[in-house]
Amino acid sequence: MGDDDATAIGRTRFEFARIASPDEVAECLTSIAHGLKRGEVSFTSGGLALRFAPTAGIVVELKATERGEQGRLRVRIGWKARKKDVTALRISARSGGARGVRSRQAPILPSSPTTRATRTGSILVIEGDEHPRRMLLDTLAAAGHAAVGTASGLEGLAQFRQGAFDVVVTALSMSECSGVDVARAVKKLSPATPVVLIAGWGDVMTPEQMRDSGIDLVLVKPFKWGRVLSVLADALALCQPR
Amino acid sequence: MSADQEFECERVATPSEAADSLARIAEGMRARTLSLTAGDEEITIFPDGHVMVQIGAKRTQAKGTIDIGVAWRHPRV
Repeated sequence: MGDDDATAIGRTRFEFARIASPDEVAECLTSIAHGLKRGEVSFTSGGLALRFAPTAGIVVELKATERGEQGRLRVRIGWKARKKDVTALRISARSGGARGVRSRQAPILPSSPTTRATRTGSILVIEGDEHPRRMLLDTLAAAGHAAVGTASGLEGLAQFRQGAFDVVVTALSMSECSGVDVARAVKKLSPATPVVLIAGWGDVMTPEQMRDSGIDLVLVKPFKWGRVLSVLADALALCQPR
Repeated sequence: MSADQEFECERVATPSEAADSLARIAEGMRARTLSLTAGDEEITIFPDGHVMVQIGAKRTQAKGTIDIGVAWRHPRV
């Protein structure tokens, strides 16, 4: 795990999403299982590592569904940290010293990819649903990007022809003109412009389908601002400076 | 593909037991067939082709979670 397109890591959280084979998923699971046995599970990305030390009293939740053509499996491992070991607590007193309590702070990890200073750009967001469109536009604007939103693929392509956009972010499912149609049209007009596809949970495209459609990156719903900015930073890194 | 099926279970485990569960799920992923059983409930799932995997982990001072989600679409025959 780590150093992939949709990986985000911070001081307290790690997120990772990608299309993989069942064998690759099995490798991830095996790696987490080994970590649990060792007493420390590590997630790494871009030279950063986030370590977890699950203690006794772990709750394992399993949810699996097979519905028609789709299947899902969700495994959740949760635990509560133990109170600090009393034997590790040291109390000392001395007279004449400074008053008050000084505590040693936990070491601070270097800034995460989600908080690093990144290039800003002009982004075209094509999303039929108002709520996610608004959320994306607000998140991008707050991060300093110039973001323009449209509610349909055809409208979005018209905007793209008129403006100069660094990146196009498009929903997959839209009436008249789908995200795949948008991606193909964008690549025809401007092959160097990265296209990010917004996919719902369970929308699975193969890497070949993505490449053939001109889709460079995938942003999986539900959105988290850290992941949105991380994927956008990766998309901007792909595009040629204008 | 078989009829719609749903399975849900929860249990308290030691880190070693949780690791064993993950290792068995990994075996099932490799075999493209995974059976889960808890009491009367049972499901057999068939992850195959390209799957979407999402892993999320977070911690606070008091607790932590590791979430693993896998989704797949069966190829049309």
